[in-house]
Amino acid sequence: MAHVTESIEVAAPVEAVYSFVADQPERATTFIPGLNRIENVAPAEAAVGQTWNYEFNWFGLVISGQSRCTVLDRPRTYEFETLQGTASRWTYRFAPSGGGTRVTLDVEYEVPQNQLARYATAGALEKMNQERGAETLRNLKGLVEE
Amino acid sequence: MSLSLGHRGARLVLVTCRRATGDETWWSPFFLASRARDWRPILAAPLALLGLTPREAGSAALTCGLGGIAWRDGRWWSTIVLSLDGGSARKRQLVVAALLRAARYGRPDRTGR
Repeated sequence: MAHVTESIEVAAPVEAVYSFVADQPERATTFIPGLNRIENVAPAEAAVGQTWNYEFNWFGLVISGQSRCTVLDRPRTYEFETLQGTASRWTYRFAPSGGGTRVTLDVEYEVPQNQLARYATAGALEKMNQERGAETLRNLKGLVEE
Repeated sequence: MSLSLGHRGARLVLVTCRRATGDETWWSPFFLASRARDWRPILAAPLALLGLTPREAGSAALTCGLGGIAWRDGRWWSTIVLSLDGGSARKRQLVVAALLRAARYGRPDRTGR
């Protein structure tokens, strides 16, 4: 599986950052580039096993599927995985750092080779995904800090 | 999982004028949808997710912690005017991006909440 890891310092308490990311899955549409829809969140309250449908624009290709929360360790770790088809696992880790929070995003994913190999090399896609991971955390920082 | 080249039910929303970050005008035709859209729940959803407390301001407008949004329906299209001047430019940029994404793809009746 391919792998992206990015970290960022956020000038906000760990609990606030964790809550922003983990309490409502649909909030991710405001900070993850290309994540255009999250629907059918069930149950409404965050819980291990909570599921939702997503639509993700991955460089022009819309990937639809379902995700499931797999870890809710407040306020340290939030993790979910995508179900069906192309597998991915998104792990957010939150740690106190100075007066703020260090957020680390770790994404493991399978590249849908049969569909995407024609568009770019694996290396180019990896670089684009790395940039998206960094942008995700920059957006999160911008929304939480103010 | 499925793969496609577009989002089902997406709306065409174009930024027709950007005077400054958060001060812009959007245009969205609805002649193919046959009726005007109810922009209130569509635009209120991302504001609520971001803790900006959207409030109704008349029949076709919202206010929030950063400013206001108003829309007007013509016969075949809507014009949406953003007047967000609070917060930092970076914050406004991110909020505008979230609003535009919601205007194009949001289906607040399907969140499951």
